[in-house]
Amino acid sequence: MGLIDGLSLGIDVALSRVNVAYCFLGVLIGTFVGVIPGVGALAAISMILPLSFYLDPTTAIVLLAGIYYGTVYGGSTAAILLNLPGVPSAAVACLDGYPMTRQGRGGVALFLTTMASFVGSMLGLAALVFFADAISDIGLSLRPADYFLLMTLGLVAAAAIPTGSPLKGLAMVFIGLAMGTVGTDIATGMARFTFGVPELLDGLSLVALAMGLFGISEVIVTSSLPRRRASAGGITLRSMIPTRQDLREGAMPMARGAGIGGLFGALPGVGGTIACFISYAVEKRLSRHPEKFGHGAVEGICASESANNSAVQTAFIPSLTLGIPGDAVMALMLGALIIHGITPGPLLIEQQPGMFWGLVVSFILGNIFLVILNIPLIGIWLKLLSIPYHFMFPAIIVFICFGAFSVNGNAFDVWALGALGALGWMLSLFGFQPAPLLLGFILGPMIEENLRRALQLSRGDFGTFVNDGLSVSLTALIVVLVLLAVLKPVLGRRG
Amino acid sequence: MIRMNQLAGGLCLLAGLVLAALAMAMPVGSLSRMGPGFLPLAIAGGLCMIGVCIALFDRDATGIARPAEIRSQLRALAAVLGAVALFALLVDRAGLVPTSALSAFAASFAMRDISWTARVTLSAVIAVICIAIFHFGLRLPVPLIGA
Repeated sequence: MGLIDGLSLGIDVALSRVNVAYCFLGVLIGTFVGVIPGVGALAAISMILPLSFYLDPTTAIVLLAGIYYGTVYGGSTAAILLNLPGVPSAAVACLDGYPMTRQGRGGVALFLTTMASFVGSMLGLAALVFFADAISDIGLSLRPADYFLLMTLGLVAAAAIPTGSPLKGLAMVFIGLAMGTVGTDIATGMARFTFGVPELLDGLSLVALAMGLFGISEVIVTSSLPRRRASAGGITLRSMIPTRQDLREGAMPMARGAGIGGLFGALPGVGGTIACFISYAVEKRLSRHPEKFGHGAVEGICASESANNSAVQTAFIPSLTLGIPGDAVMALMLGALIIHGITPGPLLIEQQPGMFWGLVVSFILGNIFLVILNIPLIGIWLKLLSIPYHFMFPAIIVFICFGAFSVNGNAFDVWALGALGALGWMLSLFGFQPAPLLLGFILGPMIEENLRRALQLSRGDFGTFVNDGLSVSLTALIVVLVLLAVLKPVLGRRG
Repeated sequence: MIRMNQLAGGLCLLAGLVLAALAMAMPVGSLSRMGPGFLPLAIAGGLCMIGVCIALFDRDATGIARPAEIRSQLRALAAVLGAVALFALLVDRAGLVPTSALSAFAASFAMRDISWTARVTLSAVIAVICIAIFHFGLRLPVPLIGA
């Protein structure tokens, strides 16, 4: 399907009254969650996930994706005004955004980050549209062995690259894979790890796992923090207008940030947070005044916010074209599609053109909504920061319980939710990150299926994983990442 | 700090060993014809190795909470888990209104600096919102009151 046909189909889908409404709802929830520190995109999406089962699959993804990119916009607001990153990727926005607030230029910083977010999103979206078809075609020619390697690479990268301990990330991937094997084995029909519980035959509930790991344990940690009295007032529309020099200084960093973010967003396991740090470092290196960075440099906030949002858009490339999610948020969205009976993979765009192009157009629409929410309506969010938002926590717990209950209508999933919430809290005590676990859980069944088929086709010969250029390089990358994960702490001890 | 990592590695090793024991009870099969126990056994092997590596080498200290932080979180943990358990017990027996109100009330104990009036008001407000969303909005097949 050509670009024009695709876009016109997408406009039909995305501009239906229902999809516009859910797109707006998604970015509204996303901005809300992004502005409020302590609740992240994963928690919000896992809470909305059970509600999305009541919707048509395209509408469900429009809503969930809206929450995802909405949090990225909203995340920089508290970072700039209060030096509190609303989401982890907004940490870079603190570096120069908060100094700008202290210089009385917080409004300008908010305006510029919103602009940078919009520019980054649109350039990332262009990359998504431009590359999606080509990568789907490549996807069709891949063998089960290649899929196995690609998914494994995604898991290893997600475990080894982000901050924290790569070994603990790998451990979480393995725990997630193990949890993914619970239920009836598709190939042999044998029940695994069900311990005679009939509710486990269909596997552990994705909703209970995601909400337990992210919703329950985030509420436990956040509600016990001392209450902050935050006040962030005094931003008027007039104070948001940037000078001509601000715009000139910000333009190129926005473009470069979008490029860096777009590249890293599409790679498995890397994602927006790392793209932010890298694009910030690049701008600092390129700048003629590197000493201004950290003291309110316009270039810094423009580059990192553009990178962040561009990465969010290109993260959809591997998910929608190969069915391989690069991070836990994407995995959750793919999990939602699978529950709706749609298998993400190289045939998705061909078989569900309305969904693909509808999503593309809804992303444009959602970003326009976000500009409106973040510039003329910014005052509403600032007020939100000063009300005691921890009153929401009991409500979140009750909603999460209803969500877990509503999927299958049984109380067993609520018990599972509680147990998984306790597990998530315990894991956080030891410095284990829950995101790789979720990714392993969702990718596990697909990895097993492809491994099984690959070895069946090769009659048990492992040579199938190193028999052409692609598989050799994927295997090599996996080995290098695992070795780095193991050796980093060993070498670090000597150094 | 280091001891926490040894404990974490030990727990991984333990999880791997338990998983291996459970997986051995299932047919493992051959490489070309993998049985249901194949992948679980492989995962268990990986988990054991990683557990040993974490215990021996890992010096990571991110996320490892101090005892004071853990103590302040225990109250929230108890309140939240209590609320979830109450929900699971009541939802099939008592109906939507008591379930949401009581479980919200239990969850409100996660917060320390809040008065009893506020707790009761909050629970009532949450119950009303839940009735609107789940009973009238999503038509969840749970009666408002009663089994």
